[in-house]
Formats: sequence, structure tokens, C-alpha cells
Amino acid sequence: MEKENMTLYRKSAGKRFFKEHKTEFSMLIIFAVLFIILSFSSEYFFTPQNIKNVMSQISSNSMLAIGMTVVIITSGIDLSVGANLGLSGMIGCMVLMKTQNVLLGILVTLLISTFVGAVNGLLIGYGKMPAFIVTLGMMQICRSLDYVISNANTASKFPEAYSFLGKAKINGSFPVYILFIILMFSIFIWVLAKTRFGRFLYAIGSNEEAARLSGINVKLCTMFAYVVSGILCGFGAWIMTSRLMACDPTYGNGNEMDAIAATVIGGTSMSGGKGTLMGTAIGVLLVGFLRNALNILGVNPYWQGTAIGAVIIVAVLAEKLSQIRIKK
Amino acid sequence: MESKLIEAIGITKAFSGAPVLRNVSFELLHGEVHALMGENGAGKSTLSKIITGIYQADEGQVFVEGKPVQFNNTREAIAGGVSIVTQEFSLLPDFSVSENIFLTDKRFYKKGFISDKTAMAAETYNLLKLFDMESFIDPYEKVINLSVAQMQVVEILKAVSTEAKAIILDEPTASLSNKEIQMLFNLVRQLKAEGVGFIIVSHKISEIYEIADRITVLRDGLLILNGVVTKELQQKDLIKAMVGREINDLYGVKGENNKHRFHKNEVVLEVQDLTDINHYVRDISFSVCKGEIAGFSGLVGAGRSELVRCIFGANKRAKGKVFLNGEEIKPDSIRACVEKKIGFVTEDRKNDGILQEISVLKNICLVDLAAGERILIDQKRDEKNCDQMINQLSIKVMDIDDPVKKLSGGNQQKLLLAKWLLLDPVVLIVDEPTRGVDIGAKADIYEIMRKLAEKGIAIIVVSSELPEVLGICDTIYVMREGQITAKLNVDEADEETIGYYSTIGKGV
Repeated sequence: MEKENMTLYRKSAGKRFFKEHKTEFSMLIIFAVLFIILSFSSEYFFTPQNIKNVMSQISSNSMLAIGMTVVIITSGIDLSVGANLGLSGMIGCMVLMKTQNVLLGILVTLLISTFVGAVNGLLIGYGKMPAFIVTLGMMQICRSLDYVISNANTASKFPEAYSFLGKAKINGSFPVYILFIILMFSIFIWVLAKTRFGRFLYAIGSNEEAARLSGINVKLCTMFAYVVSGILCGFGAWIMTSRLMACDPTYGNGNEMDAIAATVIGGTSMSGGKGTLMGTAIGVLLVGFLRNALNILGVNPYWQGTAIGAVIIVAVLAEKLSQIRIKK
Repeated sequence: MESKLIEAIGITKAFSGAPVLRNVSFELLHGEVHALMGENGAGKSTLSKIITGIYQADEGQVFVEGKPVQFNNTREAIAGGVSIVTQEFSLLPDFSVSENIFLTDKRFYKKGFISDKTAMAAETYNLLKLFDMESFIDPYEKVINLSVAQMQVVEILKAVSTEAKAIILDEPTASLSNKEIQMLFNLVRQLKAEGVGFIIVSHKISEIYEIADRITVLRDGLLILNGVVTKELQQKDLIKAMVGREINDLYGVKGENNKHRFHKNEVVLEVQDLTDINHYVRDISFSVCKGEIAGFSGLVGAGRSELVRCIFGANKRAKGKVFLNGEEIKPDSIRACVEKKIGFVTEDRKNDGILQEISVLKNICLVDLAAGERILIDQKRDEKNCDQMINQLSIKVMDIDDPVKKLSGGNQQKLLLAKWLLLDPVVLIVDEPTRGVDIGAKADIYEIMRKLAEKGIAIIVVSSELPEVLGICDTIYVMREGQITAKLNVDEADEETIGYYSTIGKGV
């Protein structure tokens, strides 16, 4: 009897998966088409070397984009991610340079980035301030402190062991950081889909007051979203500095925009309550490969912004149009 | 007076292949109030939106004063003399009343700038005076500070100022108190005497009988009753036409089944001297027993919603205590209430009830998840709970993974009840249990509440509908200006007594 009812109200698991991830599938198709076109337009594009090249370029952005997605799902925004990456990376790297202690360097990076995220979260969750304003301010503060602390100098001369995450390869060919990115995506896909915290984030983004009146600790959950975003900035900083084995105060500058772009292209709604990290992963890849292709094809760098910007707008427009069609 | 103001012939409309209106015809005469009735999804909103150009009909033709028209948007409709006042007001919150009314009036503009605010306000004052409302609304007041009733009046005046010949009111009384409804109806009657025609879209049968000259009923997009004169139509037949089946005892038999379940000696919830931080409610004390349905009646703004929100911890309190089974509940804590198994179905379904974009399944299981200690989501448990609730409350769902916004108002309301029932509540607070719910679902919801009370749950109901309060409650508390003015047993209560205590009476 119960079985019978179940099928009445629910589609099969496969159909459900397709329905829930319709946006991601359409993005995946667009990505695949773009990939094929690019492979034919340049023989250099689809080579292991170039793929690795792109992957290394998107490695830190993928961390920021995960955090950005988590925050945007709560209908917030975190503009401070790029500057947070810069500041936490810089402080961590300076400690690393002074002490030559790899673990301490990484720990400091993560602590600073988490702290910045927690301050954001406190002000937004408990102080009820607009996320846009708080993180805009935090972005300025972090970037400025980044320059003050480093005195605008590049930190370098790290112990060789620090390059493990950025440069080491499994079996001499598969880079460790790609594994790390996959791991982080998997963890947070799981968090968003299968944990109570993840479900609450969607609930808060969809209707904060309804979430509060259902007994959800909205303040705490909101704060945690920014803490997550902060931690991931630290991971982003770690990947970036260990790949380049240096840290410049300009690192991460403007990266929040790429993170937002990847999130939005991946189908996450800026008004909250809707979006997945699978979509964001595709968004990160799309932005990364598009940038790369424009370089390979020798497009004037000044034109690249126009191309990326157009993709963002078209992606959101396509999503809107498909919604309107469904409604009618 | 008997000429046709609006005539719609053979209107057919389908959304993505699903027919919403099937060959429906409708007419409105000059100086007539014509009620358009039916359950949610019957097509009445669609019809009014087609008349005002928000939607385009697939087939059929609309005539205004005998001339065929094809409005492409509301602006063209207004120019053609047809205005619509929807439930979501189209007022600018930060603008004043007069600026809103004359927003598009060229007389007050010079080269695109507002030239004379004083003249605008004076004109507004005259307009208000015409309807004896000059003391009710200040032309300079910002719309954001107005009550729903005042906004409604402003919307209608806005329509009047554009010399509308026909005004469509979509659920005009949904959140008005009885007194405000009377005021609105007076306005309608005055305009009607001047030859303005009204189409009123509504569920509320008693009001329709008061104001409407004729009634048209739609069901599933079909015309069931076409412009029947109200006086010649019995309520019973009207309900039958709307629902398609006979509903004899909407509220159950008054007082009869109540008596069996109500445990007079077992107090479950006790409220002592409750005052909220804004002083919307002051020094409120009452108690609710096991299996009792306690109703709170009163005018809008009497502090009923604020009281229940304060009990639940959603509004902060200044003083007072709440006890559950003799144990004090931590103040200002929704979580403490949820832990102690107090449920709260809010008044405003859209804004603080449902998660519109989120699936039925996730909505139903939200409280269960919030109240529980589990860190991981238990898919099996959620599915089982969801299934059980859908069957128990007969919620009509096509697919539990569909977003909740796809459900009708009545089913959304049931879903909110379901969400709290999974908590296995001891006390259930329901603020306006049947607002914007069609009559079939209404009967279901009353039935559900009665069953819950029989199980021993103490229920607190806040309602603006007197028949509802009188029909389902055991005890009725009347509130006025933040205080309880009367505690009535349902046997001794009637509409006049409640009306008396909610306006002038000083009881208790």
C-alpha cells in the first residue's frame, strides 16, 4: 500500500535527478559544445598540457566559488573572498618565510581566513547588516591590510615541502591539487544535499522568516555560511601560493567577480534558495576554459571581459527564458 | 442603467496546453456589483486578468461599452476605463498617498517633474471628502505607513481618479476587519450609484450576499452560474455550484462534538501578564486546556497576531510568563517552543510560512529536521513522514519534488499544518487558518483541527472570520487595543456580542 502511494507522488530516482539538475545538464551541454568548437579551432587547446594549465588557473577560483555558492544560496553575497585570499595567504606566507615551518604557515593562513569569514558572519548573521555592505567593507580592509603587512613586498623562499599541494603529482602525472579540488567539491556537494546544515541554508535563502519561525537558528547558520566561505578562501590561498611558491599582495585581486560569475553561470539564483555546486563546478570550468581559449586564439586581452561578461548575461538570460516558458 | 459596460464572449484560455477557461462568457452592467466566484484554480483571476489585458485570451472577445477591445496591458485597460485592484497592491511604498493616486496624471506634471504637490494633496483631499474619508487617510502620508484597508482605499481612489468605468477588485476583503469591510462597501455603493461597475472576485459568501447584485460562478474553467441575481440564489446552491458537491456542515455541529473532548481540568498552556516589547499586547493572561480550541477574535490591529507571535517567541516580550504543563518556557525563544512541541502556523503564508521554491517534501520535513538532533538528513524517514502527512491531510500533490508554489492556497495551508503535525505538537497555534483558502479545503482544515483537538492537542486559533470562530472554537477571547475584553463560552457567544466587545465593550 505504502509502496503504491510512493510511486503516485514521486518520480523515479533517475527522473528526479534529471529534473533537479536540469540547469546543470543544460550548462554541461553548452560547455561540451564550446569545448568541441574550441578543440577544432586550435590544435593546442585539447592537449594534456593545456588542460593542466587551465586546471591550475582555476584551482583557487574553484575554492572561492564553492564558498560563494554556499553564501549566495542563503541569499547573501561575499565580496571579500578575493581580498581574504590575498590577506590570509600573505600572513601565512610571511609566517612560513620567517619560520620555515610548513604546517604553521598553512595553519595561520586558514585561521586568518576563517577569522575574516567569522567577522563577516557575525556582522551579517547576528548584526543583521546587509551582506553586500559588510563584505564590501571587509574587502577593502583585507586588501589594505594585505599591503600594510607585506609592505607591498612579495613573500617567497618557502621550504620545498610547501609545494606539495600545488606541484606534486600522483604517479608523476596527476596533479595533487586537482584531486584536492574534486575532494572539496565532493565534500560540499554532500554538505549541501545531505546534511541538516545544508538544508537550512536553502531554507534561509528561500524565506528567512519562514525558516526562523520553523525553529531554525537562522543567525548561527548564516554566520556559518560566511565561515565556510572564509575557510575556503584560506584553501584557495594555500593552493595558489604553493603552486607559485610565492605570495604577492595583489593575489586574489578581483577574484570575487570570477567566483560570482562561476556561481551564477552554474545556475545558482542570486535571490537565494536555489543552486548546486555541480552547477558551480561547470561554471568554474566554463569561465576557466573560455579565458584560456581567448588567450590561445590570440584575442586581445581587452576583449576578454566582454566575452566573459556576455557569457554571464546570456547564461542568466537563458535560465530566465526557460523559466518563463515553463510557466506558460 | 441597463446597458452593458463590459461583455466577454466565449473566452478560452490555456496555459501550456492545460485549459484554464473554456468558452466562458461574462457581462457587467453600468452601476452593478457583479461577484465572480469559484474555488482556487477555477479561473476567476485568469478571467479578470484577460479583461484587463494582463493575459491575452486564446479565443473570444471582450467588449467595453459595446466596442470590441484588445488591451495589451493594464495601462491600455485603464485608458479604456477598466481598472484592476489586485491582492498585491501596485502602490509605491515610499511615495505619499496623493503622489500614488495621481502618479500618472499629466495635470500635475511639468516636463516630467511633479510640479505642484500641494494641488495634488488638495485634489486627494477632495476625493477623500467625496467619500467621507478625509479623516481616515492623510494625503501626505507615505503608503508604507498605511494599513491594508487604507491601501485598498487608495487603490480604488486611484482607479476613480482615472475615471474608471469598471473596477475589478480581486479578493478585496482578504485582510480587512469587519468595520473596514463596511467602509469599503460604502465606497463601492457610492461609486455604484454614480454608474461605476464593479467585479468582485471573492470566496467570502456572506460578504458577496451583502454587496453583490449578481453572481457568476466558475468551476474548473467552466461557466457554472451565469449572472444569477443574488437574491434569487440560495447560499446552499451557491456553495454547491462552487464546490461541485454539497457541504452541509462546514463547521460541524455547533457545540456538540466539542463537549466530548474538552478536558476542562487539564490546563496545558498558561499565559500570565504577557506584554510585548512594542506594547501591541498588554497584560494578557489566559489558559488553554487539553483538547480545547480557543479562538481569538477582534478587529485587525487588536493585537491578536502579535499576542500569538509573542507567545511563540517570534516577537520579543517586555514582561510576562508562559507555562506549558506547569513548566515555564524560556522567553523569546522559538527554539524553546519548538523543543517543547508548540507549533505555530503563521498568518502570512507567502511571506513567513512556505518556502516557495523548495519542494513539498523538504517543506513538510523542515520542522522535523529543525527540532531534531540529527546532523544528516534521513531520506527514508522524510519520505515516510511526507507520505503519511499527504495521506492524512489529503493534500493534493502531483509530485512531492515539485516546488510548493505550484500548490493551491488550500493545499499550501494544509502543508503548513502537516509541517507542524510532524512535531507531534502539544499546543498548536494557527493564525488565520483559512485565509485565501477555497471552501472545499476550508471544510477539510476545520475537520483536521477538530480531529487534532479530539486527540488532546490544545489549539489556539486567531481568526477574522466570525462564523469560523463561532463554528470551530470552544472558548472565544475577544481582543481590543491589545487587551482581552471578553472571554466567552461558545454557547453564549454570537456575532453581536463579539462585535460589541471588539469595538466598545469593556469586559472582564
